[in-house]
Amino acid sequence: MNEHQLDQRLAGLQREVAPGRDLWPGIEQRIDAGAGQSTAGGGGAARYPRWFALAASVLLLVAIGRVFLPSQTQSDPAAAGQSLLAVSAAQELQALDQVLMQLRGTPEEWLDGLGQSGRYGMSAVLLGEAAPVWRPQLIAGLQENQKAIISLRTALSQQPEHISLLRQLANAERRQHRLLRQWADFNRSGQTGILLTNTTNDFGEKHA
Amino acid sequence: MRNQYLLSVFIASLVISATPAMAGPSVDETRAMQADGHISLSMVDGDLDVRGWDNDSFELTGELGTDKHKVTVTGDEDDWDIEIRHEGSWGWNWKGSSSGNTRLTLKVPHAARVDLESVSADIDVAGLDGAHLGIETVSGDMDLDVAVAHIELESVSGDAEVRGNNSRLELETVSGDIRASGIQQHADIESVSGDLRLQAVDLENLQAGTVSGDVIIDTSLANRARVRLETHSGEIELNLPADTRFDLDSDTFSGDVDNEFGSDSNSDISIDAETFSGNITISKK
Repeated sequence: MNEHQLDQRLAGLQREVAPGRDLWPGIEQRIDAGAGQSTAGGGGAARYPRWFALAASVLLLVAIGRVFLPSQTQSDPAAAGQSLLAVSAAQELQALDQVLMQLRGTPEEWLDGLGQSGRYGMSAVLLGEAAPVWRPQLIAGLQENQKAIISLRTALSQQPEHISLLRQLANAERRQHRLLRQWADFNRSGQTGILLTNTTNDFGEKHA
Repeated sequence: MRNQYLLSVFIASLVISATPAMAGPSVDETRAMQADGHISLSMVDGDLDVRGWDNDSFELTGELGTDKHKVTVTGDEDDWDIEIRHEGSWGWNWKGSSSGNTRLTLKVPHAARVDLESVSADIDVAGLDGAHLGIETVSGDMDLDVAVAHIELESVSGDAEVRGNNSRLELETVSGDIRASGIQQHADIESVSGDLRLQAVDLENLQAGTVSGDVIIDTSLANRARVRLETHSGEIELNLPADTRFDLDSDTFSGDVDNEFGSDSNSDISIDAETFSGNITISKK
């Protein structure tokens, strides 16, 4: 099947599918059934220590609190959705920052793990010294695209079979991969720059 | 005493005025080269002019920024590789440019295939009509006046202007602004937040994508043309001749797709337009 045929098939699919019924009771039933099986298997309580169960309970309470608290404090569902999106976006951007910092601080072998595109074969000195120029620009691009990914994922959680959103998300993920690879290539080539600029990281935070 | 002081100031000013300001050594390299051979050049910063000429050779002339800059030429007449770099890392200042200013002119056979890489050098290319021109830059600006079969541009934040009858343009930028005119047949342009403006003729294939940048395209479309436009939150404006007929397939989450033409499902030209929250406008020229 070529790309055109694939596109035609995609075009033939239903664009937006709303859930035909309230799915939560069914999910709840399955969760209950799953818990029952685990107990019946006899391994549930014995496999994990008591502290693990306690920690899991605390995490569950925090998660439930995050989900339900906005709806209690804000009567507007749209505003509640925005709050959830903001939490999710902040977490994902924080995760991205962590990844970028790891990419910068780890040895060359680690960077090689992301694959070499070979497109940016500039010498170490060139890119290392130019780090103050390209790092902020590339980070801004990564963050901008990450925000797009987050909003697409959030929209897809509401409309999981929205073909156009799926396609846009795939393109945004591909774009992010290209930007990350570019970042890795630049950093791999610019090890000198990494050493020279280690007093402040790219997010304005001081580190040792 | 006062006369002695004035004399010493006068002599000092003479010495200073006679000393070139951080001028590096001059460059003058010439090698035989195939008319359609390949040549690549990489440099950090400064200015690079590339010109096509009728000779079967390349010539690199100009001045290096400092005496720490070195030129390395390797390869043979089918494929030359030129690298300009400065030794050590002492020269980088807070503005992100090395001390001194390298100014070079590279003359190559007009049909040569050329690849250029720079960090922040501004690049000006004219008079080429070969099969390929590729430029990768981080923050340098590009000015191209060429008639090349296939142009590939990649930039992080550098701006670019492309002129001339070029068959195929592929460009990708993070935040640089790009203007291109005279493109025929194929254009594939993508930006994260940079603004793109494209003027083209009889495109057979057009793909334009942006996250938050604005894209404006003026073009006519060939028979059986395939167009794909995608924006997340930016604006895309496609201006077509008033008699264009096309089959539009559009989708939006919370943005708008405005089409002045209407959709003709019998047309062999297809346009796919997708937006998340940005707007796509298809207007008559």
